[in-house]
Amino acid sequence: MKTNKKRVVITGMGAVTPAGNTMNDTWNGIIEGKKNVGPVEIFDAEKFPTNFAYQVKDFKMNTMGLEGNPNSQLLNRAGRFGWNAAIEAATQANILKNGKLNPLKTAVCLGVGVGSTSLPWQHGSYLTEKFEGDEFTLNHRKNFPSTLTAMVANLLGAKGASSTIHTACASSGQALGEAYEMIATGEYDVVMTGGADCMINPFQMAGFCLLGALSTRVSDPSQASRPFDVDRDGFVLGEGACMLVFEEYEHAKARGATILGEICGYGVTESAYRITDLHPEGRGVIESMQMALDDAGIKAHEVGYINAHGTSTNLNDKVESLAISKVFNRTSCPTKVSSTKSTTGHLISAAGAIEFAVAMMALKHQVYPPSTNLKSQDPACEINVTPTTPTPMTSSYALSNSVGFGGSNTSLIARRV
Amino acid sequence: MSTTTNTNQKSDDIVVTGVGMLTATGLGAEANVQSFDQDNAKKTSEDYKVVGFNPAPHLTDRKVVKAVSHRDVLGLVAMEDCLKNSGISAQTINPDRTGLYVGAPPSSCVDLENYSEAVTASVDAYGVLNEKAFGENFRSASPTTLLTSLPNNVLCYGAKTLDARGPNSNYTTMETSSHMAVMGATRALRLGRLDCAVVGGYTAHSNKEFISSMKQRGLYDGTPIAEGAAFATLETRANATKRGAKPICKVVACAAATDAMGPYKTNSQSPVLTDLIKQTLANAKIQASDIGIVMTSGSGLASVDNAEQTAIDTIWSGTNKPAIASTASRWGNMMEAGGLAEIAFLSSCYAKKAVPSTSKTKTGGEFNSGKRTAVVLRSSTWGEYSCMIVEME
Repeated sequence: MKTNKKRVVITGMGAVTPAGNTMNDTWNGIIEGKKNVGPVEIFDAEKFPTNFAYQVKDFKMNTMGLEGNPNSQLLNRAGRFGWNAAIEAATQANILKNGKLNPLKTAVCLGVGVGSTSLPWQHGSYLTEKFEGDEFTLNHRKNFPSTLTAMVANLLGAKGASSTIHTACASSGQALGEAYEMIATGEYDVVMTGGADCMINPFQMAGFCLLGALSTRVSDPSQASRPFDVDRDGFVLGEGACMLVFEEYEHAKARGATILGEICGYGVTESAYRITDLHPEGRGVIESMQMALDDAGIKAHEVGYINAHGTSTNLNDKVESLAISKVFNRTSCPTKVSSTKSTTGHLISAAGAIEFAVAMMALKHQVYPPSTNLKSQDPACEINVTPTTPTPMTSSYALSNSVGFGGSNTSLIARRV
Repeated sequence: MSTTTNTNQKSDDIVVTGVGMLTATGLGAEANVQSFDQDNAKKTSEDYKVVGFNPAPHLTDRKVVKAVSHRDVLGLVAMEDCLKNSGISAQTINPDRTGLYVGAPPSSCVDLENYSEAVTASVDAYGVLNEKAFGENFRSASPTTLLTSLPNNVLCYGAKTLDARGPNSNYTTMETSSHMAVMGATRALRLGRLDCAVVGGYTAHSNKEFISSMKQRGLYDGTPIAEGAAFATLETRANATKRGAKPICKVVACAAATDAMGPYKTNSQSPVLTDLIKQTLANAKIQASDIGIVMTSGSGLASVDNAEQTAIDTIWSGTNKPAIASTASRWGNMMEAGGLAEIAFLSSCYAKKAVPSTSKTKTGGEFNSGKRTAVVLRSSTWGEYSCMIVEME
């Protein structure tokens, strides 16, 4: 890694998740083990093999900037979560069209969902023949991945690159990594980054059911997402968004922004193996974490906490544990691991962003997020998991992993400031 | 920083050493570039569909055809064509120092055709889905239904074919996607994370869903939407030299900008595009008068064409005006696949010291092949723009 990089700090964070409708509420929800998981309310999933999910509750759209704005119709469910999260992050960073940013040096880089396969399912005919009428064209536009990115660029007056990334569950981890590189290389001063997703609809939920990826613990959904537990049986879908304002350090200092933390390491690899499966020896995930450590210029033992991808599927947790144990020697590294998907569910394209933000919050509060739902650790997962209750932490570095269908792996390292 | 014999050439230059492409015209850069010398202009999106093409002989893993969508196949064939032309393979690369950067179309309703039977059995007379019924009926669909619709299949299967395990990304930003991929790849190369990146884009929006939407929004009257894919191998000059590859051109700079007016809105006078081109030239320390050709998107839509024309007229005038060209007259609107195929076109123009009349716009100047630097623009109905500057070797 070449060393003439600029420092990248975080000056704003916002979130809407099943654990809470702001970043602080999400953090508090995770610490308290709050679980908004239950029967799917977005559609009638009664006859689905998996009929439950983590869902956002009591959501109220922030209409700032949308009054009289025809664009307001263009946000789908995930987009509305993303909009609120973006306003929260931008407000905290004090960059909402405040005239202090150079528009061409301000960019947006988001990881979002797949596209219009989530067109309103009520209109089954969309799949078979009819693509007509104002409602159809509106929904078609709503579900373009770039729509939210363009809306956020409009919100900020950001006239630099408007980049949308999709690498399945690694999407927003990758977006954060690229936003970091966009600033580290000097191209941009400020990048709004993050992710938003909601795959809780009949077609996509059916797709995951067909793959056998979802937990079928219908008798007790609250215990279904149990990463690294011996009795795990699949992941649980979640929904939500998380946005972060990344900023060049000197730029943030010069405008008196509050610095919440630093992103100092990024690793990104391809497993080049199978579309859904991790390489059995952790190839790709190992290199991703090592690349992030090298980029940050730190040793494994300096990382206090890892927010793992930890989906609660048999294969992911086993292979990710193996990879973690190879990079973070269990006996010589004090590093503790948890997956907060036990309280948020799997936010898919938004997972990487919210989990990095949680890692940042863990550093800020010096608290290990609990391993909620863990009853009996799988002996095949040879890692030091965090306790089931929040416990004090003493560390300056945390790492967040994301792993996606298609083989993309990302690791991001946060530093406490 | 070490240098090679030419003082303008540096070991950490990012060079293009091969291009691969597939369009309705055919497979390979040569066939596609030759199409500009022929009277074979196409008229509708149907004409620009890739039909009757047998991909299997062109793929390392022939079985992949059954696992992915038609558009993914286009991308994978073009990527393999690029690998062949660049002289790289799984056997010759350093896996950890090689990556894929791809511009991809988002998934579409038509990707869910595996559900057709289940949906047909679950809708009422008004076409409304009975969710309970679908919850029982979908189980007969293929287990891979969701996977077929993923927008990152070309990245996945391409990485597997090449055994490329390094940094990678996948962009779904429509017309600027392949340039986003160039930007991602050049960052990774400049940061020293990669030696070599296979970069490109693929497109296939000629489906009922997309075309209906475009028609109903009055955006279908431009250049017909095409199917196709184009990839290029980007690597450091040091890596190219080490493996004896001959560069086609150097990627001097690539950047993007947006009008930031929100989705589906373009400022037809776009000062942002003008600023983007000026800034990209300035960052590359290149004078506007040094540019030999400007390749435009050629979308054929007034708002987008006007934005490009305004920017060009603001930056270039009089005798300094370069040739202005577009590949759209032969390749159609290449959407996500546009922006890199132009390298093959430019290479031919500079070799022949002429720009084909079938690609020229009326507003351009004379082509001066002594000016070895060219600009490739991408502009979208979203008011999003990208600008790549290449210097021919």
